[in-house]
Order: sequence, then structure tokens, then C-alpha cells
Amino acid sequence: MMDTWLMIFTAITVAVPASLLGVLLVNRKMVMIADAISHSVLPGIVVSFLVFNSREGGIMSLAAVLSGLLSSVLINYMKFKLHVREDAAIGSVFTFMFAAGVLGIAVFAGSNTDLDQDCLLYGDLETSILDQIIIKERVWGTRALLQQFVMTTGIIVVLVIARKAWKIWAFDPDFGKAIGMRILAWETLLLFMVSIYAVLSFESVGVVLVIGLLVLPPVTAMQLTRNYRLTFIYSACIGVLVSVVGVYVAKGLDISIAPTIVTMNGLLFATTVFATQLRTRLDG
Amino acid sequence: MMIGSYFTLVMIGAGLIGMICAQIGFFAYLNKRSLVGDALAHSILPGVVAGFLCSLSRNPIYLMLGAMFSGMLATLWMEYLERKTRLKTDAIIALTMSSFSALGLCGLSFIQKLEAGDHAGLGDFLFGSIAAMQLPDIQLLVGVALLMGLLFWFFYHRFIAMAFNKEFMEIKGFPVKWYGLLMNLMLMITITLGIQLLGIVLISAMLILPVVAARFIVQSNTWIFRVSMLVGVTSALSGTYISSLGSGLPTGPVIILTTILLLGLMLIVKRLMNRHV
Repeated sequence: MMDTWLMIFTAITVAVPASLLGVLLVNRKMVMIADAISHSVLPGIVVSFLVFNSREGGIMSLAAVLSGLLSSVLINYMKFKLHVREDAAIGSVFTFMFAAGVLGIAVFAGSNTDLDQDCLLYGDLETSILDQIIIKERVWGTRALLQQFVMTTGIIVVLVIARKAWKIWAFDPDFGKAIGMRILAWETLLLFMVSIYAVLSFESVGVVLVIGLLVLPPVTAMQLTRNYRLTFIYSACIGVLVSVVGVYVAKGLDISIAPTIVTMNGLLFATTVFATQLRTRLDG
Repeated sequence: MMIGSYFTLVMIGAGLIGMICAQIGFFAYLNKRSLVGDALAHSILPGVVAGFLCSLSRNPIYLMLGAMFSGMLATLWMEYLERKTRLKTDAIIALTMSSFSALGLCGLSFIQKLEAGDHAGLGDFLFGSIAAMQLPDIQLLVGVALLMGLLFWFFYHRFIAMAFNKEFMEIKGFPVKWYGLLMNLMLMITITLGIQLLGIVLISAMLILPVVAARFIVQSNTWIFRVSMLVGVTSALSGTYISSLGSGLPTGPVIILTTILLLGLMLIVKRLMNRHV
């Protein structure tokens, strides 16, 4: 029972920050850049495993955030300096980073048992709960949960404190520029948060499914409301809902949790779309 | 480690896949659909899993049929969302590929719990492994790839015209809709063939990178088409060869890194050419 609760809480702390960041990304059409970043943290993680042989949050986050940001710099370089079309630039950069990461695992993983390919790529919520923090014979949480909880709080604080700036950034960057906002700095901050998110959640969901958690809750919320603030709230609620449902379904069918959560969200999105279509048809 | 006719056949297959990937990638680039290939590649995973569950074997025919079916489903879903919702293309691509690949991963984890059937090789679909393929698989692959290559030569001018001026083609009385469908179908077949070599996550690189590289050094469509095919074939051949030397080297990433090397080379060539103009 305790285990189920730990899994649900871990899933929620993974889902909520992604749902919030996702709304901003979808609004500015930056979803695929976020996808590229989430794939690009892989070589950073691999390097920090191999060079420093550490699983600790600090070094790994630093390396992975650096490689995530490097990929966004590379994309911009290809786009503006080499005049490659944006989608092609994104496709080139993330496949390159990802290939480097996978090759790194394949070549060096033999000597390092900590580096499990499946776990890195698809996550392993099930085993992340084994690393428990126990004080005075009571389970207080797990390391993954603690990390993600701190991250979730941080992201929510940044989004709430600067909510007006984010609103301007999301809807009218030109206006923002006119009143002296540094649009590019905000964009970098957002991508920075996405890479932090991708690093700290990869243990639970892996690098391949991050994009699903980022994009599916916001697009589902956008079918339900057109209000900006409500989109955030709905999106977070949908993230929580699918986490809970996903954990139970996955336990019932005895399959991996992370893909189940994303699948549930995909089904929810499809249902919402069909329901909205039906409603507009009935309305006339 | 691999010698004789088997290895020759593998190399022929790899070269052909490099060629057709570059060919369809060129048209995808012209139509601004580079990332659609990525979405489709992710979307065929549930189909592959379903094909395996139906046949309980790695029979390539079943896997390919399943792959085609779920790829088609993903295409239709994306087009439906494009028409019916206010979502932008990038969000549609991202949500389609993530929900389909998540469904596929659920299926994979379900299969791994099953007792029946030989599911050892299904993981190879994720990163590609030409070494895991059996002789009949490769014979089928070479046959279909050859057919695709011929189709591209045959339809080249029509596809170019479609990409640049659809309205003109429509007025001229060409069945534009059917050509679009044919293009989608060929994209899907190419990806289905290619994932055995390159894997699901990395196949899109083989669609995009050769064209990007070719555009650095040549300008005209015909030459971009030719150079990108050359890049595709060269990197597929050398990548497959290099990965066959070391044990446990996945084919996909090695091929991609070879392509990146070629791309860097072309960038340098471009810089040198600009200096002398």
C-alpha cells in the first residue's frame, strides 16, 4: 500500500511541472525544441556517469543541463547562420546528441552496471521507490521523490512569481520587447527549466517519454478552455489525474508505469477531442 | 565476424536503405514535413508489437503489416487534428508520436512478461541491429527497397512539381490527392524498412541529415537529390561496416555519427568555397 502511494506521489511530482511548462511551450510553438532538449540530456548523463562515476544529482544535472542548452544553441546556429529550416535543424541536432548518448552507453555500459539502457530511456518508476529515505524506522519518501518535489516547487515558484512576464512572453513578445523585456533571456530560462526537468525526471520516466508529459496535458486542457489561467490549472489537474489512473492501470495489467501514464493521457486527449466535436455538431 | 554472401547482402540492404531514406527525405524537406517522418517512426511501434502478438513470432511480414497499419492510423489522426482543432502542427506531431510510442512501450513491457514466443529480438527495433536479421528478412528488404528506388526515379518530376506548385498540378488534371497518398505510403514503407537498420528514434536522422548536408554544397534540386543520395548511401555503408567490426555496437547510432561527420565535412567545403568567391 505504501508502495502504491509512493509511486503515485512520484508520478504526480513528475507530471505537474511538465504540465505547467508545457502550456508555455505549446503557446510559443516550442514543443519540438523541448523534445530535442529532452533527448539531448542523454549524452550529458552518460558523460557524468563515465567521467565522474556519479549518480548524484549535482554533477549529473550540471552536465545534462549543459548538453541540453548546447543543443538549443546548435539549433539556433543552424537556423540563423546556416539557413537550415527549423524542423530540419531540430531533427539534425537531437538525433546527433541522442546517437552520441546511445553509443556511449553501448560502448561503455559493459563496465558500469549502474548505466542501464532501458532505465535511462524509458525510466523505471518501479525501482525508483526502492531508494527510500528512512528516519527513525519510518519511510519519509524516496530520493527521486525528494528531488522531484524540490524541482516542482522551484518551477511553480518561478512561474507564479513572474506570471505577468510569462504571459507577455507567451502571447506578445513584440510588446514585451517594446517595454524593455529581455525576451531571449526568458526563453533561455524556460529552456533551462525544461532541461533541469528532463534531467531530474529521467530516472522515473526516461528521456523518450518526457515529450508526452510536456505536451499532452496542455493540449487536452486547451480543448476544454480558452482561458489562459484556467489552461494552467486544468493542465496540472489532468497531469495529476492521469498519474493516479496510470499507476493503478499499470499495476492492474502488470506493465511499466511511465508509458501507461502517457498512454492514458493520449486516450484522454482523444476522448476530449471527439467529445468536443460531438458537442459542436449537436449544438448545430 | 560476418563473411561471405550474407555480409554482402547486408551491405546491399544497408546501402539501399540509405538511398531510399535520402530520396524520401528530400521530398519531405521540400514539403516541410521533416519531423513528420520522426512522428511516423515513433508511431509504428504499437503496430510492430501488435503484429508480434498476432503471430507470436518475428515474422517480418506480420511486423511490417502491423507497422503500416499503425503508421496509417497516426497519419489519419494527425490530419484529423489539423482539420478539427486549433492546435499547431508541432504540438500535433509531438502529441501523436508520444502517445503512440507510449502505447507501443506498454505493449513491449507486456510482451516481456509473456512466456510464449521468441521476443528476444523486438528490442532491436528501438536502436536497430542489422546483425539480428535473418536471411529471408534481408532478401525481402532488398527486394522492397529496390522497388522503392525505382518508384522514386519514375515519379521524381511529378513529386517535385507537387512540392513546388500543387495548384498548377491540380489545374493540369493530375490526381493530386492520390500522389499525396502515394508519398505518405512510400514514406511509411521506407521507415518500416529503415527501423530494422536504424531504430525508431534515429531513423528520422537519415531522412533529414543527408538533405541538410547536400544543401550546403549544391543548389539545384537535381544535384541536392543526387548528393543527398550519395551521402545516404556512403554513411549507411560505412556505418554498417564499422558497427560490424566491434561487438555490441548498435548500427543506428554509428550510421548517424558517420552522417554527421559527412555533414561537418560539407560545411567545411562550403566555407572554403565561399572564401574563394
